[in-house]
Amino acid sequence: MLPTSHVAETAAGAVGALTAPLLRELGASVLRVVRQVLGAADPEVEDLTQESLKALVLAWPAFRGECSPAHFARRIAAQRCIDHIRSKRVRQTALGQLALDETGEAMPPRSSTRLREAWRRALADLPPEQALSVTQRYVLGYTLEEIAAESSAPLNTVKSRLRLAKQVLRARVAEDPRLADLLEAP
Amino acid sequence: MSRELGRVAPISGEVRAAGTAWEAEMQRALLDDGQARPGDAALLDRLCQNVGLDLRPAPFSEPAPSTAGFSSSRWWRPLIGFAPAAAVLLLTVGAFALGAAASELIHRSAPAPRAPSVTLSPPRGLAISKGARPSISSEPLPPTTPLAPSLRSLRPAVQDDPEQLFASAKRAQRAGDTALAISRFQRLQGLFPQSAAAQVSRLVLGSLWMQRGDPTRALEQYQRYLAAGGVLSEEALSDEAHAFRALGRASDEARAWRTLLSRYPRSFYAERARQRLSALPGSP
Repeated sequence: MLPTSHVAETAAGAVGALTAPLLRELGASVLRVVRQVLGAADPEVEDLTQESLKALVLAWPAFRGECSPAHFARRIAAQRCIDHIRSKRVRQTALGQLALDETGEAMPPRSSTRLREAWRRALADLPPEQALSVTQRYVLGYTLEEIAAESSAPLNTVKSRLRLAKQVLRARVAEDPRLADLLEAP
Repeated sequence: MSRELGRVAPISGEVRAAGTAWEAEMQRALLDDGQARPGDAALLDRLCQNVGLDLRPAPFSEPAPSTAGFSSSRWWRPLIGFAPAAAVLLLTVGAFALGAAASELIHRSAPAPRAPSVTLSPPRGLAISKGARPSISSEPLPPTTPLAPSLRSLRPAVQDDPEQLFASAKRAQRAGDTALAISRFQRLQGLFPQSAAAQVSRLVLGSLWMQRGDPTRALEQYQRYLAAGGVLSEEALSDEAHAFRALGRASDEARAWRTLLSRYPRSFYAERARQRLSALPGSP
């Protein structure tokens, strides 16, 4: 493992080649984002991490050092995961799992698993820019200003996107009667 | 200018003041998933190595240039694409020529051009029993029955879609026909073992076996789910613990609950796990 300062030093200096040690270092950030967006237990975490790393290598020549390499890598991973969730295949999987809910015999009244499923369904339904904004907010931890800068959109547009995205998220949570108590809480 | 984004206060510890309860809980669930796990280092080493391999130019994509005249001129390369067409053309011409020769033979032997059948003289040296009259009919043959549908009818299950099988099993379960539901889930797992529907079905089938008082088979289903992994691993661990309890395997039950607590400390089942661990003999 490289020391954590390695990434910062690379960002502060001239943007060089994406070396194997740097790729390995950035891989930890990529893996974290993939797990957050897909769910840690998702069987496709490995595949998506590898695809994100590949996308990072391909996109590296476009990296101008305006943000840290870790941020650049996280952003690519988040986008790749959103694309994946929005794909038809994953949507069908999520719907198939929903069928399990109809009788509710194997599901708990309330759990993080249910919230993650609501999250995935919302991401699959949202327009791409709203899906990206809410992922930047919830997973990458951006401020509104950061999202606006990142997407080259006015602050009010970002606020609007997040408001609409949250409406969809809330609707997906509301679809599950066992999460109703969460919605009633302040 | 370098700027570090995403430097807002982490949500895992403190809930965002502006967020509602469901938002905070959802963010917490997402952040929990991002935590590092044992084995990450080896996993990342492997993935980075794969990426490095994948991005290399494919070997043998361009053959080494040869020095011999025939190969070096490569005049024949554009013709390669026409090779299949040329082969088909040759075969067609050959078949046509054979057909023409056969037709000529028939017309030579048959006196009337519209005769429905012609008689051929037997070749010399062949003894043919009296009354046996080899003939070639010029009438059109009856249409042949395609073979594929009959083969397909022998294996209708292969046509099924895993999601359809899952849905049909669920319908049977809702209708109260547990035996049929079990049979359909087993069929789903047999035909499409790698499908997402089959993976989910392991938990449902496990619960059906539990309802039927067969925790051994239920346990097998839960453990198969856990071996493959999935978004319902939390539920699978809890179910596995219940199956161990039904089998009277207290130490295994305690191990399952401890695994659940270590992997999902905020799980809905965490309270239940702690209660069981405190009740089980030999557990702290």
